[in-house]
Amino acid sequence: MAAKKDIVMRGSDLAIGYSRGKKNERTVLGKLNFTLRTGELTCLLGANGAGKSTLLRTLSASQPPLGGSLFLKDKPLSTYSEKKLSTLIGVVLTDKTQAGGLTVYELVALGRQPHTGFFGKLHESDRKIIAQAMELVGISHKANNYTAELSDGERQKVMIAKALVQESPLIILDEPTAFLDVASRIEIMTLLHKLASEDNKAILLSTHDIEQALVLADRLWLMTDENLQCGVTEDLILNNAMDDLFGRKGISFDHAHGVYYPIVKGQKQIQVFAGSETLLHWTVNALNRHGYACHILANKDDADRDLPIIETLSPHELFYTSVREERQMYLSFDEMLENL
Amino acid sequence: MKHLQGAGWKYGILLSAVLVVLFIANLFVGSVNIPFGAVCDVLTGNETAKESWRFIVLESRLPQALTALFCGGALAISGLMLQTAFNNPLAGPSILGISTGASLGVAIVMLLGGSMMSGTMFQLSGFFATIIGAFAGAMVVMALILFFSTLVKSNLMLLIIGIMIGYVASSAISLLNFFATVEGVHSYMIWGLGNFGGISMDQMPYFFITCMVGFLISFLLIKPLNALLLGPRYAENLGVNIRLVRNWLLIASGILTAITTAYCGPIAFIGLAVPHIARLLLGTSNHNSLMPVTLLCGGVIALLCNLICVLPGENGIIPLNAVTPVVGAPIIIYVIVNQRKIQYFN
Amino acid sequence: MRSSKHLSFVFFALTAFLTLSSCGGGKVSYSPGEADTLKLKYARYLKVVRLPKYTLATLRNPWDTTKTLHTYILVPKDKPMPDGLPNGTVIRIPVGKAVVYSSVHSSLMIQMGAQQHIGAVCGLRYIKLPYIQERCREGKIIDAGDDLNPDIEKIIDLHPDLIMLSPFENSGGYGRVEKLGIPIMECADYMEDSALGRAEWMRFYGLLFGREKIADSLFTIVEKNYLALCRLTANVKLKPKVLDGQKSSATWYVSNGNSPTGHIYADAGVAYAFSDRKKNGFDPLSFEQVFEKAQDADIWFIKYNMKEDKTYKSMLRDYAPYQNFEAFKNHRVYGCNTNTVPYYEETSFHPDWLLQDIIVISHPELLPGKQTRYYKPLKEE
Repeated sequence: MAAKKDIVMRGSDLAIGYSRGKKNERTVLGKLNFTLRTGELTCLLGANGAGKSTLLRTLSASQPPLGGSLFLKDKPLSTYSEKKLSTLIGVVLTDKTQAGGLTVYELVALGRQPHTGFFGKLHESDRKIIAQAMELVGISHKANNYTAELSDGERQKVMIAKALVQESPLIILDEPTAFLDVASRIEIMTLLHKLASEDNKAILLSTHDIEQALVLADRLWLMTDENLQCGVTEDLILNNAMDDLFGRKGISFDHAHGVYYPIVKGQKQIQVFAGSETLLHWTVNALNRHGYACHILANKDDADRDLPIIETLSPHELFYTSVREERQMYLSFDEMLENL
Repeated sequence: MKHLQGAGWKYGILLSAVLVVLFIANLFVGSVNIPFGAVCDVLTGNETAKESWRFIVLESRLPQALTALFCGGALAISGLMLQTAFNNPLAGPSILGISTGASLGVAIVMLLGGSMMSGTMFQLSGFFATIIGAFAGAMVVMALILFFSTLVKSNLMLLIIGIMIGYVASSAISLLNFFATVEGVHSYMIWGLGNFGGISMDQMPYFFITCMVGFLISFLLIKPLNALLLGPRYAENLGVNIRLVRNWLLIASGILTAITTAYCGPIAFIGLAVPHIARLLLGTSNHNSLMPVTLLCGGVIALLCNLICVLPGENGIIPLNAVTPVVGAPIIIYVIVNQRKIQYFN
Repeated sequence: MRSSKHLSFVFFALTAFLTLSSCGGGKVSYSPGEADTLKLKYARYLKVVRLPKYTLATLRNPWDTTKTLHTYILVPKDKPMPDGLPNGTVIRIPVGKAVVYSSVHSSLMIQMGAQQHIGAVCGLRYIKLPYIQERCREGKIIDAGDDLNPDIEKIIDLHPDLIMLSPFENSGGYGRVEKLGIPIMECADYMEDSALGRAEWMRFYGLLFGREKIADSLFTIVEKNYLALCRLTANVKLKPKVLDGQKSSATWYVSNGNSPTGHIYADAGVAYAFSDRKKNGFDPLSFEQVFEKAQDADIWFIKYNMKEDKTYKSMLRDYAPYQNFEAFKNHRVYGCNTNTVPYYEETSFHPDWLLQDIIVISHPELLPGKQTRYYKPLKEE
């Protein structure tokens, strides 16, 4: 049974940007409407410079909005005191810190500051929460190591643990998987998904990792120069919302596989027939890379005699039929491409 | 540099012990050779062979040791707070120009011949005027820095403003020196060499109380200082009011620098070097243990320097500011050279 | 007549031979008959020899007594320049206009009646001599600026015949002043460690300005007074213990036993607390050391330069532990505010006045009725 989803944050006609005095305002984006619910992982996608960081800073109360309204729980964000905010929003950023000389435990413990007294003294309850958080993110074994000694992925986990012990319903992350290898990226994203679904947190993160976002995000926020589109991942994909996300020519979104790829301006044309979906996909991939526009044949008999044909029956059985009807067999893509 | 649980306590106790030993040593050792037994007699309230010995130990050495103790701690804590707040390992009480401001205050008093001071109801004599001048000078600069702190959000920019203010104060001092008498210049130079022996026991309470106020504010800032280690955005997210904390930090640092410069002259290096010594010992950046250990270390170093000053014995004394860098500079060089190995710089 | 002619010829040949033989060398040798050494009884760093055509003054280097600091050749203006002069700085005497850096020398010149030779002074605002101040206002004496950085243009404009300044160890030159081609007199009088030795230099300065007779008689008076005072205290039975100076920041500069200060105290028949430090100059001691030695001193002399006179109360404010000195408790502290009292201007060439002050204070029974000139008892507040 899914936990009840509460709306943690809501924006109506929100305008974000920079203000340097009354006359000097620069709106990055206006008329934004969105909600963030507990139990959901939301990924913010968009081109560089579209305004993702600005949006995240505005939502985490780091900078004020330029217009519209922004509600946290039921009250406007601006009415909260710093102290209260720190128990409602936790952030994970890419900022460099001078906390290398703190142990992992000490750094995570800093997340308890909103809940502790004047000297930040930790009680038994605090220690429990810290231990749990470290266990959850999988960093307990490094509790006594200096954060300077950790790998990037481990350091991200520590920061997530710190946000966790703040016990905030909303956690905002700014590119948490930047600089991480794919295994670490998957690890972090899976962790975040788990936190959303199992611990009933509302998690919002910006990322360039489209792959994992499409797999694990419950909702996507697609940000372009003009607007912000919000929706469930599959709805957005299948309604072609991903196609123009980057507003650039020369890239295309593969609806079937959920990836972006460069559009091939192939002068050369070729027909392709393959024994399976997988073989077809990778044959087309290889041919595109070599500048061929591919026509896919449902079955061999539909072949056009005026164009060459590639048949991939297995990874080691590739056949090339030239226009002059000469048939050649190759045992690998390497061989085939070399002789093309 | 493995971080052991309870390293803070371990070093705290160790340093306290060293502190006590050095404090007592400063009572027994001085430029005048007083026999060990005689000092014991003085401390236990017994009769001594020479009355002057009692006076020297209780009215000269004791306040001097106390001054060194508090001065060292005050400057060290001031340096630590500035280094964390400005994320700059080379920050110290002098970097924001506060001690230069104090020096300017003294230069005005000494070199302009107190022309502004006399003619008023109460006659300000030499040393007293110096203290007022130093304190006033430091407070003026501190107020300036606080004012700019409201205008400027970036720490780096504020630091640069502070350095610039220090330069302006320095240039004013040069100007005053240029037009001054030979005696004035000499007096100012001597003041600039630093001195732990300027406070008598009856002035000690004022010094003590002011230092305590500074210490209190500093210790109350431990929690937000730790949050500041993560950087201003993280600290904000943890509920720290960056502007407010920075202002209180400047006030605490300002008070501690002002009072020490006023009574002891501008003392070099302790504020810059001691926080690094403490970090090296403890192997942590956690202010829960770093702050008290820095305080103790500051006292230890100051008492040690005070002892070194009386080494020449019959031939006189070495000025304080000639000794502190000799102790402090090698440490800073070590830190810089080993930066890659020291985790808290990563 | 033939014999005197003969004698003159021999005399001339001898002189010629001697001067020729000494060309190129710095050292002049002369037979006692021709030269007349000025008998300087006390000054150790000065040697003046009167030769027929010029006077040779040799200044010994006080920091390295084997070397010569400077050699001056004083040639009278009304006589022609002789040939074959030894190495040294030539000064035509009497000197017309001089640039006098130090008010000590200005003061002396006024006393010798040579004040019209003062062309320019340095550090005008610290000079308390009314004559100088007035003449400066009238534009008759030039303000040459600061002695460490004098106004070169004004000095050139003056066309002085001499520049009188105080030399210091390893001076490395006196800056642009050297390049002006004007003779520089390195007044090393302050380096003498005896008071009379320093004062005796006035005879040399008198020579420069054509005032030898006056200078000589002035010195005779000073010497007579000084020695009389010394005799007065020679057999004194009770010598009060004396303490000098104050703490400045961490240091208390203490004059050593063989310094000029030490010698004056010895001559005054007092027991100077640090007379056992048998060297010249002064040392930076700590408060402790001074207190240990001089806590029981009977009399305490302090010199300072401030706008207001010091008082017992202001001394307490400076450093409360001062009150534990016996001299303080018994209110026997005597201060001299050099801002208002011409201590430095006068005592260099009138050590007898200073000595008298000290005797009046420490042995009042020896000089009844006399007032002190420099040191006055400190007021309460």
